[in-house]
Amino acid sequence: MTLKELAVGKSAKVMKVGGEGALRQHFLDMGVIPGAEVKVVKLAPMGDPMELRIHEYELTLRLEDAGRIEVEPLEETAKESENRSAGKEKKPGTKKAHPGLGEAGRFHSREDENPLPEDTLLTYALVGNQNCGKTTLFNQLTGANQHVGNFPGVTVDRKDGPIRGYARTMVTDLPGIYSMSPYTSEEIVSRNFVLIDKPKAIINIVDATNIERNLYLTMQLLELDIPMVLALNMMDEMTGNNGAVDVNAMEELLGIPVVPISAAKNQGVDELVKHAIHIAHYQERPLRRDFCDGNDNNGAVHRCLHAVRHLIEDHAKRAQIPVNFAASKLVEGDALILERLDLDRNEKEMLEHIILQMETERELDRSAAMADMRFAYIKKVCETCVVKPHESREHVRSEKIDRILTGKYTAIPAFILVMAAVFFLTFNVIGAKLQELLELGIDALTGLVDTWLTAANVNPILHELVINGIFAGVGGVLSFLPVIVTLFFFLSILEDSGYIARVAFFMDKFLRKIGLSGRSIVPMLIGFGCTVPAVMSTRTLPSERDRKMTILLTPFMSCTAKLPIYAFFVNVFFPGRGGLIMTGLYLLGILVGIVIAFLYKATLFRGEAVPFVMELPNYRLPGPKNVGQLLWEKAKDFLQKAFSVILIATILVWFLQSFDGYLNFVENSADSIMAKISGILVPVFAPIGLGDWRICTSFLSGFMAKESVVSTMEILFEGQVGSALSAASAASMLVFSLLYTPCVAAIASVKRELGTKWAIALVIWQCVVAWFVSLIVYLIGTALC
Amino acid sequence: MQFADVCVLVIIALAVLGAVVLWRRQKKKGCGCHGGCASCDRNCRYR
Repeated sequence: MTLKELAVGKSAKVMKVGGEGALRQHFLDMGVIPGAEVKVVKLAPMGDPMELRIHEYELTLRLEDAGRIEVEPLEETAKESENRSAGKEKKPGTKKAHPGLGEAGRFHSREDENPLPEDTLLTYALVGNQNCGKTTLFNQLTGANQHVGNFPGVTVDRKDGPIRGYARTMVTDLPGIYSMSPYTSEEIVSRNFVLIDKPKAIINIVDATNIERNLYLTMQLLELDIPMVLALNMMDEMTGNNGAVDVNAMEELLGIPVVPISAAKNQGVDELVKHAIHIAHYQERPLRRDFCDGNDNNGAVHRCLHAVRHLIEDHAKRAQIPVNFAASKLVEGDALILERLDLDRNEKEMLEHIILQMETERELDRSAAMADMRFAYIKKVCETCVVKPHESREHVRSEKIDRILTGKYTAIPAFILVMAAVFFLTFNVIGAKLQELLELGIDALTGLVDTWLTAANVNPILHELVINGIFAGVGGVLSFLPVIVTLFFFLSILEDSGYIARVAFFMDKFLRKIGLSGRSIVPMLIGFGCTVPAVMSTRTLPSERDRKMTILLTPFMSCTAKLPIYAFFVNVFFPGRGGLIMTGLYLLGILVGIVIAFLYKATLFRGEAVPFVMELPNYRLPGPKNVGQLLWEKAKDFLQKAFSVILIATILVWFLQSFDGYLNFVENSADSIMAKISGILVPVFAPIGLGDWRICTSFLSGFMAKESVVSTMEILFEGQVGSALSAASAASMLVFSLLYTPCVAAIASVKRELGTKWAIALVIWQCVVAWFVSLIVYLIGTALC
Repeated sequence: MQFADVCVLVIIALAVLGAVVLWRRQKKKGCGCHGGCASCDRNCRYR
């Protein structure tokens, strides 16, 4: 039978892994190998994808892909099997002495040491799986304030920073990867960094609570023959659940220093740093780079690998690729390495024959055989060194929470409730109350400055600029700070806790209908905060098609910069109905996005979305430090924007609308320079109820920064917007603001990802869509009023 | 022009100068991002 047919709650043993290319390699890298035990935990609310438990972590898989994996049902459940092995007492044996790797002790020989010069910059690659605490460790090492997201694929590209207290060091945080295969851009980025940039050492961070899958990457890193230290993270969780690791034995088996740490609690990090500095300075390479067993399955893989190593030795040396790594990759069928080695025809034929012989003897294809070889060694390491914890408290808690948040009938209502609660608390409660307080403060300050300027008898034009230009414009935008920060607070809680990964899981089937995979929900949800990081986070999407399509849809998700516009109009035209209107706007944005997606699917982006294989981490309580840091950065960013772009835009707008072409101060702004420029657009906006040059000007200023729409309107309408527009026009304005082109920063990020043509096309396309939808809303509004 | 007018003009000029410097410093990050947002920092290729 296939995995697709396995019932919920049942366990099975994997017999054969089908599929091909990147998907199949990803299965193998995630531990779905012949002989592995797997349990079906649940199906998503819409029946697809499924959640599996394998090697003590959760994985999502579409039913279609699960149909490619052949399994044999097990009589005992995987849980019983885990419990059987959990907390098992190790046979009493000789207590291992500490090998002392990476220390100036027994291992390190002073006679033949060859340290790097003292002024050498010690560069490190920080490598590990996704969700293993890599970015937390990076923060601890460098003191840099990096945000930790708790859904897969958050860190897309590298970050650098020196280790605190060691100026001549540089740590590069690489994307989270599961293996060094050449299929995803993150894996290629990591590989290229290690092979081309040649860091002095590697810090490999491993999640101790998920050690088997994490060590799979470790095996491949060891083959690179670069000085390496293993940071065994989350040891507090491991020991808290009665697990343990014999660190000395593991150090001996792996041939590298192993340092237990808890990055979140900053435990063991100092010791890790000392080891890292030592191995890099003295260039102490791994003692072990070879994990094939000559006795395993008659040594088929062992003989194959050694034969290939000898065959390619000279080529590997010329190409400056470690020979063990090159040999493993060639056996797996890595085309990039094959190209770099530049083997001649004879050598290629010999290579193929060696591998075919191995496949025949081993009765497995090459990729599966290599994966099996590594997991066999990992199993040996774990049996010797690891006492597995009982099912962790965190996992039990996650399961209980998931019964509701990803339950068949409760997942989607829970999601709607969660998002509605977020918006209600933001716009009607916390954000709104804080905004009132801030407005009082701003009004008081404005009044004070007005009094001073009057008392000092300042020139009336200057007085106008300061009070009705700068204070009105910048002050009007500043008052929205509490609302924006509050929304970001809630979004970051959802992100950090692990809930967004669940959303991707149960939204996958729905998103597939519009031609995307569940992973695309992540950039879209980020887009509710800001379009710029949302566009950049699409780099995590494995398919170019999915990436382009998601980028072209994300700007339809209303960002926080548009909130001041909505709040401004809601306060004036629809008081007391803020929450309802805001929620309606957000839903409209999503609805329009869905319609546009169908259009894209049928035209520009025909074809299916990529396979969906994603880890579901345990729920975690977001660290207050992380959240606080994020809020401060967001507030700082907003304030910087207010006092830079918006201040300049405000002064510029005030000038253009206060002076005519001869630089005379005008009493009626309809005679101003601004009126002349915007007048060109008035006929275009008239059919949708926005045929006023002041509104056109505001939309133009919104191109620089969305928040400046409000500041511009405050100046131009002199606080009399309510009497200048009808409710239908206000509704049209809201919808146009929701859907029209994003700010110049967002356009720049689209341009960087897709190119200038796509960016320009998106600007025009969004304006056209916004115009048509606003027309519909205006006509309905006019009919109702 | 009175002394008070000059003072106000100088303050406004300094504010504009500061705003331009702040804006250019953000743009120098190279990614076109307005900067400071943690999600942006996490994903920025140009740090």
